[in-house]
Amino acid sequence: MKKTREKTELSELTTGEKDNFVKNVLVTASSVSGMKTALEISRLGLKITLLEKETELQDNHADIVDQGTVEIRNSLLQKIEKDKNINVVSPASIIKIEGTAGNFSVKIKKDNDVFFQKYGAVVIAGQNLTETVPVFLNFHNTGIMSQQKLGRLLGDSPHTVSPVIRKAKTIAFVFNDSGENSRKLTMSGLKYTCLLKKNTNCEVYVFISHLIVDSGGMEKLYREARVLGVIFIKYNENYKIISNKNGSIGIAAKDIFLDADIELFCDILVIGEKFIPCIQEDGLKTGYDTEGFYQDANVYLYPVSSRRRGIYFVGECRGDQDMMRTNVDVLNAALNSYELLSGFDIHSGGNVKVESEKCKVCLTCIRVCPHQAIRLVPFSDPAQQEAKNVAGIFPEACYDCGACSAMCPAKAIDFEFKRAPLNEYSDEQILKEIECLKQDDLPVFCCAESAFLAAERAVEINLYYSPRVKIIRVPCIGRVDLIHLFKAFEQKVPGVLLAGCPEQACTHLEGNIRAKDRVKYARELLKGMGIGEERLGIVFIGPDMAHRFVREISEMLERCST
Amino acid sequence: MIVAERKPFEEIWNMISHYNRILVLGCGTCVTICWAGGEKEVGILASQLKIAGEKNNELIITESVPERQCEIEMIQELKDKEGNIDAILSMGCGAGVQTVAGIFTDIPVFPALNTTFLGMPEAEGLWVEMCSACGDCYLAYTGGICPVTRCGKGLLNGPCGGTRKGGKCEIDPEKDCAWVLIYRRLEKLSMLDLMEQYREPKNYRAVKRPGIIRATAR
Ligand code: SF4
Ligand code: SF4
Ligand code: SF4
Ligand code: SF4
Repeated sequence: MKKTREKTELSELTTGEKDNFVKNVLVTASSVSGMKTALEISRLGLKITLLEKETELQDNHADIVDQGTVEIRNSLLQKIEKDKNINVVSPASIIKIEGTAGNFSVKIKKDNDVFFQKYGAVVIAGQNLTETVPVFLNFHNTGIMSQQKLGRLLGDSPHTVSPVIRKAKTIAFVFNDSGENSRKLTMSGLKYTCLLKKNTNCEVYVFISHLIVDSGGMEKLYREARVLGVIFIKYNENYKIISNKNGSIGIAAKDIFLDADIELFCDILVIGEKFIPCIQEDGLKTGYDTEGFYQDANVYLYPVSSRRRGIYFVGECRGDQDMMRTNVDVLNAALNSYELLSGFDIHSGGNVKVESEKCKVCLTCIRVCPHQAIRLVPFSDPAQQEAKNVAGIFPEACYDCGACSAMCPAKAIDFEFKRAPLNEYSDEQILKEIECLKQDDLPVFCCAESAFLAAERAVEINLYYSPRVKIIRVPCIGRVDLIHLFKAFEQKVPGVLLAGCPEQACTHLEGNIRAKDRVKYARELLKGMGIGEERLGIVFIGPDMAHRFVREISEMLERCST
Repeated sequence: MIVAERKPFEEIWNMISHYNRILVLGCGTCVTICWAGGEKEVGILASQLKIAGEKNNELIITESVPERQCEIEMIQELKDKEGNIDAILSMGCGAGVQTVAGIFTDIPVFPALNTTFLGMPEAEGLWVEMCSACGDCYLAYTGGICPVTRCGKGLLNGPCGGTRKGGKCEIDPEKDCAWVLIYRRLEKLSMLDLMEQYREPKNYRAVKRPGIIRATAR
């Protein structure tokens, strides 16, 4: 409630932002997801440029996705041709994206030309950033093949089945080699097993570690496969590819239900391919997940947001996505770009300011800002004669995390509130709160998005914690400066605790990790002064973990009071 | 730029603990940029001193950060303003400490930093050494990569023959072999003939210690 109110109040400040926003959206590339996004955005009344790397619009994934894709694609192509809002540019690709939400300056390469173009939002879609490779390319002619190859050999009717398949008596599948569940591979795999059963006489076995059938129509396909006589074997963690004296290929694994090691020899072994990201030169500065796909692994970004406001990811560039999920992405990306460019996106950032006179142009803040909201801008002091560039924060991209403020070695960045609720995040205010600490108090710097809510919740449900605990709200624990920690120790407090979001769930992406590093360094400094490391603590707490919060602060109190 | 690192607190405390009125003096140029002696670091050190000296009632810590510590005029101005102080803890590089000591002649000036090298930031918080200020620059012959500094052995006619797999240095497998970098760069510039030229032993005393440069009016 409170947050909603604050946000509504803040919205008054951000309206007007849209007036200087460019009302064009750049969508790349023209995969099915890209085309769908373009059409969706056009429906909302914005102009779109659709970039395609190849000479004409296409989709290389047709083999793996539903059979309907070819038709879907053709109908999309027709619609796009007719749509007046959509302008297709090909072959072209993005080199880098400068600027901030509403005013991106995109460097585009078309043929041999390189030029800059202004866009309000950018949607990165589809598979030109993803490609599929058979995992076992070097097992030529051994009877191992990828799903794509099987699909081609199988065709879609009994008459199209190639002799290679017709000869086989036993066919085994491993849907997904990498262990992570892939809905796309599961979907196509199930489809192929059914086709095999219908159009040939072979035995079909499927080795699965975990089968998830939560996408549209999957459950039905799975049942059909069972009815047709496909045998599913649930194995434990790893399988091995084996061969016998006759050169037959096989698979060995531990069956979970039989609790026994089993071996199965087959004529053809179908192994799901791996999806690999294909990000070449990346001028997006938007981060990747652990597998190298677009979008950092962070819950706050799901489904389509990136660390830069106004850049969205859709479909396969986010990893191995099936159609159903892609469709959700498409709608989200379209709506997000629309909200952004028409001023409905309530953005509560931009309350952080650089004091130009103090800036030493060390570029630390530019490197640190998780949202790419800082750039060099001409010095704003009119008295200054010579042209000099200093760091400048772009409010439309900034999320008020305060990371830059904590890192600036010249102390040139601080919160400068337009409005009351953010008052408390300024250096002056935080230091004031610290000065009020008494000798026995335990100051706990709480992230406003997680630990602070947990603390509030604790009060609501009557969880008791010591009155010695003094909660200091910060926008993110990445905002807590070393000097704040030391000033607290100057007040002779027994200890200091930082409480922020859990890993990969930090509202400001890496604020918690930065805070962790800072605590490590501060402990070293404290050790030199004879202050034990147990007196400076850091914990990671979700907004709903009231019990955990109370437990952690009680433990901390105990630890540092003895 | 000049890169420096803060000394451990114990060492600083040993130098300064028997003084009462201490000025912690930062520098707003190189050492601010390398996170060693700017306004923020001055604040942290001052706070540390206050905590460590909490039993000393007479302890007064003041803080100041001139734009550049290695400028006589700037330090003179500071001296005219400063009240009574017993000692100065300088967070400038070695040049800064000595400039300050030359002006505050009546009180001791202590270094709080170790001045380490001339370098550049490779990423956030990561500085690497680039130049040893040898006074006789070779970069024209080495594709803009300094062998004096970045070759583990400082070879002028490299590589040494011990280069590891993947172009790493024999002395430190973590570091790139400077001569591999030089070769690759010259190759790209089609200037590989430079690799074949023999370089005479270098005059390491091109600048006699202490170095002085007297520039004429321009
Ligand atoms: S971190 Fe501070 S001094 Fe460095 S560029 Fe940013 S504002 Fe300027
Ligand atoms: S407050 Fe956070 S988001 Fe805003 S400019 Fe600073 S680092 Fe970037
Ligand atoms: S004293 Fe001079 S040389 Fe040393 S860090 Fe400061 S500006 Fe650089
Ligand atoms: S040769 Fe190397 S050490 Fe000597 S001046 Fe040039 S860069 Fe500096």
